[in-house]
Order: sequence, then structure tokens, then C-alpha cells
Amino acid sequence: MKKSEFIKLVLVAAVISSCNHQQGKSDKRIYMRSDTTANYSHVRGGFRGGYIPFIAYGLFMNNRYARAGYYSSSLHESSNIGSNAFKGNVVRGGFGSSAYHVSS
Amino acid sequence: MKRHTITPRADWQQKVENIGFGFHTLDTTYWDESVYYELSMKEVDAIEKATNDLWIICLDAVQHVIDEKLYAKFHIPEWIIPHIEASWNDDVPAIYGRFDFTFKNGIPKLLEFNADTPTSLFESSVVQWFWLQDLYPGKDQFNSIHEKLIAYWKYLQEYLHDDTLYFSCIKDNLEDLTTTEYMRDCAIQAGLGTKFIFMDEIGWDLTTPVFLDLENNPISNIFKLYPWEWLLNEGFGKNIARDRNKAFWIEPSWKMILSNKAILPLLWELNNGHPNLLESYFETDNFKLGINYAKKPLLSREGQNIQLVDYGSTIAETPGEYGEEGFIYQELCLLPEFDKNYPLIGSWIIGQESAGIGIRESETLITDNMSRFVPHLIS
Repeated sequence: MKKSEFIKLVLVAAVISSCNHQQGKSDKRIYMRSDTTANYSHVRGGFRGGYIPFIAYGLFMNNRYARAGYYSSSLHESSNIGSNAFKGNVVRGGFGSSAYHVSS
Repeated sequence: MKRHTITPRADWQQKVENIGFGFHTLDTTYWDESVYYELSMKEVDAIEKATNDLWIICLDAVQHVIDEKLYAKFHIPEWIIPHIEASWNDDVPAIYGRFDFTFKNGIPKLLEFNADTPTSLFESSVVQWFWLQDLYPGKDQFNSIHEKLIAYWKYLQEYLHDDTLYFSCIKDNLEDLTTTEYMRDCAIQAGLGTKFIFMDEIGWDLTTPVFLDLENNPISNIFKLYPWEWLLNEGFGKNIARDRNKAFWIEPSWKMILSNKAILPLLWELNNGHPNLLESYFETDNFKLGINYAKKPLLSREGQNIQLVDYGSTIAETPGEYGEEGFIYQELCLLPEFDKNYPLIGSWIIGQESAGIGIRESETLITDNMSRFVPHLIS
């Protein structure tokens, strides 16, 4: 036989209900920042789908979680970090931008 | 190879969604079970042999590129070359690739090799298998992709860093997410510890310096459904070479050589007359093909910027954003026609072995992002 004898999935079926967002098109330029020490800049990719996701940002230290603030991949690094020293040691958003270029 | 038209299962959308296949319908139908292809065992054997043979000569070609320092032909930036050579010499794990074939006089001919981020894995491995089990359970299919993926992740376990294996892709793309989570599913079934992180969530520690997950844990193994040429051109690209953890990126950076269409003229040069290769040349030698050729960009996706020329006349051409790095010229070999439909055979290599096929069908001679995935069986 050339086919798999048996197929079991332990993870994939759950994927379908997550992250199936339609990409809305908009010419609006929205200016935001995720840290009060940072400057505002316009949101990358426009106001996609009517929302801009933010992620809680922190670190486990001495078995405790210390929250440092928030981060959004829709914002430029300079608007995510500012002069926040904790955030300043770690930068995010340095991968993943090419997909915007390809789809636009 | 025969094409059959049938009535789709009445509740096919529900059936495929139940197994996690949410992108069956994009702008138009993508998963098309109103059609299937029937292949003879002789054809399947020919594809299997071609896939195994081509994989060996591809590995030889990578060694040749490294030995002869031919990176300029591939437009690979100099700063990443040490990383590519280290990934090759250290046997950084690689797991998959997809050869795209057409048949000419019963012999599979290589159109291109998708060695870095091949798509349609889940459809090939899982969705068409369940279709077969539903409609033709007694029939066979050239598809042991699922069990070979699990087996190869098991094999690779001892070659990974002794740490979590991350899986990553872009946001807002269900197709990429499904493929990535499917790959992760197979790794979990192989016993590996895994986590998921989106590409733009990957962190870079300016002090250490290493890549981090969202809890600031270091990343030392990562499967990415994200092309190397994009990685290199982005803000964190050069950090890959600075990474103190020397994270294993899967597919590894040496796959940049095979996923670039410059590999096609090089394969021809090194294996002139190989039965599964089409005559191919770089731009400087394109005159050798005369007035019949396919012109393809070194880097392109979804069939963009391809031109087919037959007796000096363009018979098909696609627009796109590629071609900046240059083009290669390949002997013209058209896809077979079935009632104005043109099937392309994607043949999977998992680990070191041919593992099965998926067929995408278009209404044009160039397979693009409007193509439909259609199932197959063996007669």
C-alpha cells in the first residue's frame, strides 16, 4: 500500500476556530503607542479588520510573573518601547512584515 | 493519468472542516472534490523514483554550490554565507520539500523544487486521505506523508537542541496557520515538546543576544513557515547570524540554495541529460533554448512573473512583483490538458524519502494562487 494506514490528529481541528480574520481594507491612518514613554506612530497595515491586537508583555522572575506593559506587532518598535528599560532589553516585531508587502 | 468528474459528498464542507480544513473555499473553490485523478501504479512508481533520484542530485548540487562558492548566481547576500555553510556542515535538521512535476512521454519532468516553504501539505497528507477513506476505502493513494512526518520528527529529535521546538508563521492567514499547526501536530505525536509563536511575536534580547518567546524564554529550535529571503530582509534578519544560541531554523538556511530557481540550470549543468530534468540555463546562455522556453524569476511565489514562449510567441504570462534578482530559462514543457484543465503534480520528500503527491489543477498553463487542490487515487 502507498497510503498511510491510519491518521490521527491531536491539535489541528482546534485551529479552525482561531485566527480566521478577514483582512479589512481601509485608508485610515491611525496613530498609536503601546507605552506611555514612547512616541506615536501610524499603525502598520492600516486599520485591519476593525481592531488592533495588543499582547501582554512580561517576564517570569523568582517564580512570579512581572508584567512590563503591552506590545503590538501593528506598531513600529519605537512606539512599543520608548524609554521603558525593561522593554528596552527585548525588541519584537523584527520578523513578519514582509507578508504585508506581499499581500498589498 | 485520467481525470474523473464525480458528485461531491453532500456535506463535504462539514466533513473537511471537522478534520481542521478551514480554507477549502477562498475567493473560489480551493478544495475541489467534483474531480479526481486516477494514476496507474507505473506512473506512481515513476514519480516516486524521480523524487528520490532528484533529492540525491539536489544534495550533491548544494555541496557543489558551497565548494565552488556559487552564491552570487543565487543572489544570496554574503553575510549569511557562513550561516548557510554551518547549517550544511552541522546537518541542521530539514524535514520536507515538494517537487513539482509534469509528465512528458510518461516520464516525470521537474518544473521546480519548493524546498523552503512548500504549501498544500495538509491537503496532500490529510484531507485527500479522508476523502479516499469516505468514498473509495478499498483503493490506494500515493500518500504516506502523515506517517513519514511523524517518523522523521522522531528521528530528528536527537539532532535538535535539547529544548522546546517552536513553530511559527504569520498572523491572519488560516492556510499558513493550519499547515504550521499540522506540522506541529506531527511533532507532538512524535513525542517532541512544542510551542507556537507568531513570527512578529519573536523577541530579540539586545543584551544576551538570543531570540526569545513571549515569556522571554530563549528559542533554540524553530520551524518557520516563512521564506528565508523574507527573513534576511527584515529587521531581525542579521540577528540570525549573531544569535548566541545558534538556534536551529527549520527548514535550515542551506535550503535557500534549493528553493531558488537558479538551482535548475545548475542541476542541468551537473546532470546533463538526466531524464527527470528539463534543459535549463541562466540568462547568459538562454539562446541555447531557441524560441521555445519558460522564463522564470530566481525568486517567485504562486506562479508570478512567469512567461511561456512557444515558437517565439508568448502563450501564457503572469504578472507579479518578482524578477529583480534575474531569471532562468527552462525548456518549455507544458502541463497536460484535460478538458481545459491543467494538473500539476506536487511530489513530497519527507526526510530522505518520497512520501506521496498532491495535485493542483488550473484553467491556465501556469499554476497560480487560483489553482484548485483535487484528490487522487491509484487504479
